[in-house]
Amino acid sequence: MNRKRILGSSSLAAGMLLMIFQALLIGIAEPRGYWLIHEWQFYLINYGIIIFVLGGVAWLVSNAYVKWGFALIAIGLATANTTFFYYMGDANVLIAESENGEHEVILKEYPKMKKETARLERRGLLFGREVDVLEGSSAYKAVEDEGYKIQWTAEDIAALTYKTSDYGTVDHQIYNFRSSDYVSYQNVAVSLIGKWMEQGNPENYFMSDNNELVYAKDGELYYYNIRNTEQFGIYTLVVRGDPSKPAFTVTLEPGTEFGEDGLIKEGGSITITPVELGDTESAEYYRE
Amino acid sequence: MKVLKIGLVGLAALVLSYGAFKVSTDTIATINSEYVIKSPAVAEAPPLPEVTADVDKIMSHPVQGAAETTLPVDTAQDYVIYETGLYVTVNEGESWIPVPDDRELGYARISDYLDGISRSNMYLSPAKIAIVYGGRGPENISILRTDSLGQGWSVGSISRTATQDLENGYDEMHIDFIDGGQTGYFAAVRDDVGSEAETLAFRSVNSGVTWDPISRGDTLYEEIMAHFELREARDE
Repeated sequence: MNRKRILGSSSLAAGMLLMIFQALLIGIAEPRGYWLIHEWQFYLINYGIIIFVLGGVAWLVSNAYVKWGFALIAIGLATANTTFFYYMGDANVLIAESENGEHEVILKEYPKMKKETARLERRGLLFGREVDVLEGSSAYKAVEDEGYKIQWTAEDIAALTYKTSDYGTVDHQIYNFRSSDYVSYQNVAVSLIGKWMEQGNPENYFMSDNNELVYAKDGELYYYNIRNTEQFGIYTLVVRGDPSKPAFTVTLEPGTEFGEDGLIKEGGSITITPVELGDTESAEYYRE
Repeated sequence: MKVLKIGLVGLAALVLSYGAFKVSTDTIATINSEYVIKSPAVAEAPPLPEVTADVDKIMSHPVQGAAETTLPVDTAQDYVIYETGLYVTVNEGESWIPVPDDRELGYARISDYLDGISRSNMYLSPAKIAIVYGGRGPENISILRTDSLGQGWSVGSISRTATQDLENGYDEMHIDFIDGGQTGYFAAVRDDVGSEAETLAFRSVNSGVTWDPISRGDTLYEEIMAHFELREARDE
């Protein structure tokens, strides 16, 4: 076996291996919700297949017409791959790690496609599993427009705020990494009944009677209806605002204990984080 | 001949590339058009009914009192702020009645209003003690009263008297009972509202259990203003 044949066979074998990988990716992984975190890797593999197969043919085949034929096919495939890469492979991948590095939020957005922005859960070094998609992200691409913010309201809870239109409308998602068996599910809104004072700044407070919510912040007073809240997971409540009042999240502290009445026991604390795209700071509140 | 071959191959490459590009873009357009949106943007939900911004929901509720006590104070006044509490006396300082905090959620607490408390906030007699306070931020004005020298108190709040201002509430409050304690007059003055002072007036015909607002222009409004000498003082 001469050197050309060895090189050609190796090149073809490498191309075949990459093809098998792509086939498994498309045929098995993708239907199950698994995909490469970074989209460019898929197209890079395609280029690899084209190059290895073309190289293999060039080394193994002596007929010039066959070689040119393969070269033309390779040009066509490379053009197609480049076109797909430009439209579908141009993905914005956002990876936000918690401060302690234990958790991460991965978002993948396709700015040139209708495909929605997906949240991925990492599976190994390269793969992610799609767990949900951002509401409204088919029409408006927040990451591309830099209209988003991820805040870790606790070491294991991330709050994503993102624009949903050019008109400044925003939405929010809470990603909870705190382990729970869900047996101890609590209604966060109910557990908050009472008055909560900001640590070191009692003029800021939050009050709930499980019907109306009162939020006093920096000298301003805001009222909310309990129906304008949404619980995410078992630890976080989002209080939705409108143009006249701010939205904010209420996050229960790890290890929060509840009484038989469902209320947070004395000594418990909550974290309130304003929901907006600008700079904001979380504040810890204690029950009065 | 070689040039012709190269030219033909180049042309074929161009045609093939264009064809591949066209097929690719068409495929992408099809993928886009056939994509089924999983989570579309939802239209704005219809607005919910306005919250009342009013925490008054019941007529009154009880507040636990504490026993009369003696205080190491020397004052001619019949009320004193001692340490962090308000005390009143109806026997010239022989004993002092501690005024309790109303711990009910959303109601004003006397301890938060001690800075603004003056004699006009109180009606003190052996048969009845009434103290008015509150009105800052979301808290309505509360009227704390006892007919048992502080053993048991009852607190009621007056709807829609919360100023919604976290810094400044009412500047003055005046309360009094006439007709042997059956009829109560109450006025709350707020100076820092627009160009002129705002004075709210209320009357109770059941010893202070409930209070009815009296509107400006009503002869009773003038009567209450005159009773507390408010109109004259403000006109000067």
